[in-house]
Amino acid sequence: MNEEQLRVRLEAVDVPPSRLEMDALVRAGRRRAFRRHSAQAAGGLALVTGVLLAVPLIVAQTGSPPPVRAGTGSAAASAPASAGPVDRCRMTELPVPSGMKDAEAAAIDPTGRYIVGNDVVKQDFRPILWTDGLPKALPVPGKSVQVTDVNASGVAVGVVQDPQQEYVFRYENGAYTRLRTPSGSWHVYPAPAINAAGDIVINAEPSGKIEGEDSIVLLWKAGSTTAVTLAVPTEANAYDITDDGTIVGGMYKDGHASTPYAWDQQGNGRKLTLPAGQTGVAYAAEGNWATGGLWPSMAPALWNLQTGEVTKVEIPGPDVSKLSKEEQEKAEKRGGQGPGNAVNASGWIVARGASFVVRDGATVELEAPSGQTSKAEDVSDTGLVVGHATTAVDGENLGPRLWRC
Amino acid sequence: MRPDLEREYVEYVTVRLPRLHRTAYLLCADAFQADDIVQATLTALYVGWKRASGADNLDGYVHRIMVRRYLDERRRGWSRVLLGDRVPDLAGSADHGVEERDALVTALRSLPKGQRAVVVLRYFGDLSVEATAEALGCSVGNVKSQCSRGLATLRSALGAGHPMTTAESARDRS
Repeated sequence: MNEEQLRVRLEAVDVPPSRLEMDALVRAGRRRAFRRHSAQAAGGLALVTGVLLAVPLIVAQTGSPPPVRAGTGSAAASAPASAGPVDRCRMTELPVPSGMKDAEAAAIDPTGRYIVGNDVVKQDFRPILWTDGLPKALPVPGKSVQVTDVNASGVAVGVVQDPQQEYVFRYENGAYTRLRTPSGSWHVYPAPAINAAGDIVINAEPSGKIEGEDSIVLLWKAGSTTAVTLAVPTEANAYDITDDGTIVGGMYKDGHASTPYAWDQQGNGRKLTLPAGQTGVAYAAEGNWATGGLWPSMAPALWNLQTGEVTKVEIPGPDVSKLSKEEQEKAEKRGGQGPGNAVNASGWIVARGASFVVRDGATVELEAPSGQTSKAEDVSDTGLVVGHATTAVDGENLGPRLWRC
Repeated sequence: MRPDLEREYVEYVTVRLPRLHRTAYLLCADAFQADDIVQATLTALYVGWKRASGADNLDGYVHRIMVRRYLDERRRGWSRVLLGDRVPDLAGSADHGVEERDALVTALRSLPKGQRAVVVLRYFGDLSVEATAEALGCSVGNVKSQCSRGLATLRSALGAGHPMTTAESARDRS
């Protein structure tokens, strides 16, 4: 097959029809643009390049997963025991600093005292720290400053992105500290994580590479600004660090996650179990639990870090009963609800953007007023879930939210 | 957005939408994910339209947004989310799920994401090596090596034993 033949064949591929409609695209664009415009006191030019990756997606849902009462879902044999029945999680609004119109909560510390989140202005982030529910707009020492995690001491971490530079920061006692990468030019991704002691992990790939090629794992010990390169194979990626220093992530092959791993700080790794026929990676850990995703089932996974045992979390899909038979079959083939992105010390799981939390193998609804949809991001050991609410119809962000479960 | 600017946006998107959808489908081989990344791309484009429409290479800029979205694994898996509520009439058409209906789509799916993106942008999007590098945010050398590796894999996947019916019939038509 020569290049011209490949062109011809690519043109001839039978592509299924799109569901996107011009009118709906314009409507969603108008609402978003209007809100952003009114949120800006003065229009600054925003250069749109690498920052795009993390920009929130405005979408509408055709159907959200039906809430399932705890205990009625498929049982997960290895899930931790329940402390008591929880029917639903009550929503409260998180106040935002004045002038912020597109804020979302991103993470909560395990004790539930500190929450971090970001306002979005065009393509850029503006960091927020809540202490005991009171918001504070953090200083903005760069074009885009995104805060991604916080620990029980209120130490926050995130990424500063400028056209010329990009670096991980630690925010502590009202001041930013730039954390240095090894010599050379590195792109850090996707977001730094911090544990109780203050140890911070993230991945870095050489600038100019994509999808983690030749990537390394960086660890800044508490208080340090000099990174240690973890002694793990290149193209291993780390996403979280527990309070005992265990780092979780996975091995990648050609940009695809293949095997979930837990490492100690010397880089000694152990494989976490996978269900037969699945690949996977761990995205978050707390205490003895790690969560992440399984493919091709696209189901969340829950690993017991002591035993390495895995539970594939079966979640009921969206209500497809009103769809045609063909659509229902397609929905089945599409599989699960996406990876778990956050976990607490009791093994509760949050899948990013879900309107429920998984507790003891069953989904518990994150309550929202009529016409709104809940979108979860993180969960504390005290049973608090943070995220944001959107309009149910077109996914318009309504601001950061807290749910008590 | 001013009405005249919005008209420009609508005109641009109306013309490009089928092509963008095709590109997205070739990238992810899943109709739902394809809609998802196209929608995300075009919503971002609307918000930044005034600035973007003045860009030297608007198509390249749009490709860049879309490819970045596609490569971001952590945002995938949520493709059940769709804009609008129209359910296309698929009656009488083949099953459009992710199963292997076309040998080329199957072979593309076997490529690492970066190689797949390079092949699709170069040979379907007709982007130059430089424009592909810009869209992917990587070096020109990286595009060249990914491209040659991707082509080699496709050739072997589609090689002996796999009839090239689609290409042959397409050639016959032309």
